[in-house]
Amino acid sequence: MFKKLAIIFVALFGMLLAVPTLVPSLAPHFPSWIKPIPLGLDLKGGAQLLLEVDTDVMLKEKSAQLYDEVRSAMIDRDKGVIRFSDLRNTGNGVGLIIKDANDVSKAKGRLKKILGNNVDVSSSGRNLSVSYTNKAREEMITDAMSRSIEIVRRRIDALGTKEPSIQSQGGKYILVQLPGVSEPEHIKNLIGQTAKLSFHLVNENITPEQLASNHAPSGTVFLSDMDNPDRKLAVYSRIEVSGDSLKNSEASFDQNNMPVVTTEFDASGTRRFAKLTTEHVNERFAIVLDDKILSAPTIREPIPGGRGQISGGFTLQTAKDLAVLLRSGALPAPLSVIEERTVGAGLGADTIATGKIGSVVGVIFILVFMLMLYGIFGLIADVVLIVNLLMIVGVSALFGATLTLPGIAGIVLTLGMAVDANILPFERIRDEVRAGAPTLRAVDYGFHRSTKTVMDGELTNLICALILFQFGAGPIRGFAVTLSIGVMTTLFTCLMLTRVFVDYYMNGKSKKIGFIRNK
Amino acid sequence: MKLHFMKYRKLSYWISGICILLSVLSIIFKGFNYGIDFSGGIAMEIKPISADYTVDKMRHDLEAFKPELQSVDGGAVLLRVGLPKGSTDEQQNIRVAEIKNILGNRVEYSQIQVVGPKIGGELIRGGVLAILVSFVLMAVYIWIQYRGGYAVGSFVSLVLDLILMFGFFSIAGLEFNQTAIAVILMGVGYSINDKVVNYDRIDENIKKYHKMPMDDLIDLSVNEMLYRTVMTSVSTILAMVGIYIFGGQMLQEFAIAMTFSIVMGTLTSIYISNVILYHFNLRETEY
Repeated sequence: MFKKLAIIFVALFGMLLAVPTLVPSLAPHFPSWIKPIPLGLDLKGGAQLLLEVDTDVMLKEKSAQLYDEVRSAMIDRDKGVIRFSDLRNTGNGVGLIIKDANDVSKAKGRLKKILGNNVDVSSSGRNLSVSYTNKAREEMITDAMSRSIEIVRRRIDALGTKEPSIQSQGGKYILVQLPGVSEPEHIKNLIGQTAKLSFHLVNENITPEQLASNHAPSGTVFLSDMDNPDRKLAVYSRIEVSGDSLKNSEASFDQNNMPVVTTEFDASGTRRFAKLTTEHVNERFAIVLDDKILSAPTIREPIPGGRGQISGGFTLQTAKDLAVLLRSGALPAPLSVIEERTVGAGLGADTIATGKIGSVVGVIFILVFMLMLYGIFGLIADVVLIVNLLMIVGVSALFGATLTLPGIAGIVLTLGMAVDANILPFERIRDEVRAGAPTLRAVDYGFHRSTKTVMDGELTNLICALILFQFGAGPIRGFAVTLSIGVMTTLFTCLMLTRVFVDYYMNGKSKKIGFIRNK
Repeated sequence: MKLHFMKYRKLSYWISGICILLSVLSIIFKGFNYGIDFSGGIAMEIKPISADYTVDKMRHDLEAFKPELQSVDGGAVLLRVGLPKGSTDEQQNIRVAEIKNILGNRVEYSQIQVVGPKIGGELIRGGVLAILVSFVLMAVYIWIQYRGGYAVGSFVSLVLDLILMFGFFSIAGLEFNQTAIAVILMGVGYSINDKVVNYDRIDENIKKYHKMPMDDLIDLSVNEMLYRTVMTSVSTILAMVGIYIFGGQMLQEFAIAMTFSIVMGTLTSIYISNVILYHFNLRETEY
């Protein structure tokens, strides 16, 4: 008796979860965790962002790297220094003049050997020019695009946005669709940041006059403070440790209960950070994010463990955001949002309306079919099916799964399949009665014997769903969630609730069951 | 009434083989009708000058392009047109011109975008990988719950299901998009349930009838379950028929593909996954 009450209670509770979805006007009367099911971009609309990947900036950076590489190749003491002058960045590479004409072929050979097939080295007289090949450029851009997409995806995933769609568009754009997001400001801020983190030593030998004149000596840059652009600090441009070496980062609080971001380096980062803090005790180092100084603390003692803490006047929200940015990695090239659209009523009212009608009719077909096949038992199956439907909606809402138009059709399909979990015991009962068993015993046996069958069928289905969740992305994940919920509610309603109703109908007596006609 | 499935099992194998061959040939030579999700395409934002020019009318005028039309805020309409596989930039531009030609000056063009190929092709690969891994795990589950023979039988017929479903999408020229992946996954879910239910009965009968020859036993089990197998798929198909008739253009392809995969899952349950068990010695000593 207690068990039956518990089953009915769970069913009622599951249905209750669906009420805010079905009757939105009642939603405010429910506690905040019982929410209406979020609708997908196609049903409800959402935000759509078009991002442009600034590959020129990335190519410039690569060109600057090339500058360093060429320079160190020329002054390589082991292989012999090649004297040169006028090393400069040209539009698409590096140019230099070799002092001694006899050294030109030696220089060309050395550069080719060190830089490999990615660069063209050409000379005219003593002028040497080094540039990336077109193929290498294209590869860099393609690579930057796919990495940017991956990082944007990670950042958006970290915010828990449901079923975002992130795709490349027209070579240098990224299209981001965010179903159900009507205020994309926060996301825009988060994906617009390059999030290049680096640690530099502070150059203390700079006079205030130099700082004011804005002429930094070679090897030093003047960077402004994150919060106060007028406050500048001179740091060495050499990167001591970079954000690439971060293993993890979390928002946290320091001893004064101020929000901070804690960081954890990987093995090589730990070594470099330990070296930095050991060799420069009592000096200041600057933590730089996207060419702005977050903070410039003094090194009090060596930090060997690879754990650090970044403070910089954060609020809890900005600390959390920075942690997400650092976790998901730096963008290879700056991103800018060049188009933003908030999508209104998705597929058009007409399409949604017909989609809903179709789904309702589909469910009605199942209900009528069951009623025709199994009479009073069919009616029980129908009631249970409707409970199942409401529970799928309710539990999906609880988990915050997004509902799309194909998702609705998927639920209808799940219901069509759930019918199986009723047909199986009913057919068992029929077999038993035909074999001469009294109906009451047949009912008991029928349910008992089909339980394992239904369980095995549904559990294999659940395995399928869980794997999909693990491997899939975006819409496939959403589908896996709906499928899993459907398996659970089907097991519950068809194995337990149906039994409660059938027992109530049988009332402990072996009465005639309508759908079983003797042969 | 008793049907003899075992007698015709060679025929089942032949038919399956031919279907596999047709599917593979179609996938290789015809390929898929990739949706804008995967192949890119043209996206326009247009605004009808007169309110009389409704989305339905546009849809009718542009029928040849199979456009996806959606209303956006402020009376604008997003028009999306997929591109056949291997389209060049030039062909895309020609299509843009053709569409503009048809719509003429009945609309304002707020924006025209040409969608490049989506990196999301990785979604397809991820989906297929997920399906295969889930096949293996489901087979392991069946192995643990029943026996190795059942696991192999279900695995083989699921792979068959998968090939035929991909083949169906290719042959019927249905749009292959993210919904298609979901449909295939649901088809797999339906199919595995069907197979397990049938295996359960075969396993039960093996324990019940120790002396019965294997082919008779499989026939008996399949016949016992036939009513249930057919009724379950009829009920599911009825739901899809409802969606097909009343669900509008957006859900029609979904309903067609789903119906196919239900019919196919049912057929492979009856004619392949059960019948194939004959080749495994299920009566051997218990593991």
